[in-house]
Amino acid sequence: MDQITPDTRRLAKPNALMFFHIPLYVSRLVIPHKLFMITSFREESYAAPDVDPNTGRPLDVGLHDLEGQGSARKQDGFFHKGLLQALESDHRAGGNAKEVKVVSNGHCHGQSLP
Amino acid sequence: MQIADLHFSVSSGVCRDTPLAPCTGSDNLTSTLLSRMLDAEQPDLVVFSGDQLNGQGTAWDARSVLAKFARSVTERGIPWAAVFGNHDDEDGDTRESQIKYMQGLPYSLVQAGPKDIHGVGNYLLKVMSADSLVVLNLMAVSSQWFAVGLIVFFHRSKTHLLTLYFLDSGSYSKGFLNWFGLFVPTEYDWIHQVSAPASPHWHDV
Repeated sequence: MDQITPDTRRLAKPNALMFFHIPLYVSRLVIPHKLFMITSFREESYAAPDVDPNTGRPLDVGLHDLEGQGSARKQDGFFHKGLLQALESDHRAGGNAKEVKVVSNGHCHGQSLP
Repeated sequence: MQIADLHFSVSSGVCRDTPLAPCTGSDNLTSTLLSRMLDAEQPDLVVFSGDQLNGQGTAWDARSVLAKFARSVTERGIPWAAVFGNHDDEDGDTRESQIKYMQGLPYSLVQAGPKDIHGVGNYLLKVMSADSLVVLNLMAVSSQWFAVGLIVFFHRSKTHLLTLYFLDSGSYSKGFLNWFGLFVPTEYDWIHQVSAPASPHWHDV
């Protein structure tokens, strides 16, 4: 009898939430032209939100822009080397999702509306 | 439920950034609000995400502030966890000593975390399924008197459903170290090491 391999389910770690106080800072390198490079520093915590694929609307809930950006001003690679490398399983083939699904911060208070 | 930036003081607190006027005893007002929200939401777990203490010269007796910040939660018997913010150790009491105080409070799940990881309070918690006791095996045995007995094994089939990571994102610069929101390799190496699947489960593709 042929061996039947699972094609609808895979072994993976449970989802994870992550809590830490100060929002992350992430830099991004932009190369607009082959002769020169411009480095664009963008704080990932305040980047444009992802879009809900079902509704087409940004995944942006609640109030914002009540105060300045409160994320860290320096980073040592935690987002790319830490968060994005924490995968659901050790398999490196396609379809391996990130283990951490939500990052939740504090630090930014916002001021009350008049 | 996440509770962020309580900024409690030794005193009853000074109101700020609120249209409420007059406003006095901000910590008491905050606790009242927390109680209402906890009764409305009835969470299974509360996470305090830093700056439980206001610092800035107002939290000079950390133990007394820590004794009151979680009272609304502990009075309801709700387990809770916490991470540090940038103000928590501003007025003298170290993060290490505050962890010990918090661990002494009721329903606290706070951990100090590994000492070789940058910061204090880097730990993880696992949310398990609420399975009841399950009968696993039934075994019939015959004794020397040819009686047949049953040995019933019970065990909990708890499944690891969710992982919660808690990390210390640092505080303001002290001396030459600028630790404000800066994670260093010990922390992101740690989340890879510690997240080995003890009991992984199946995901639908």
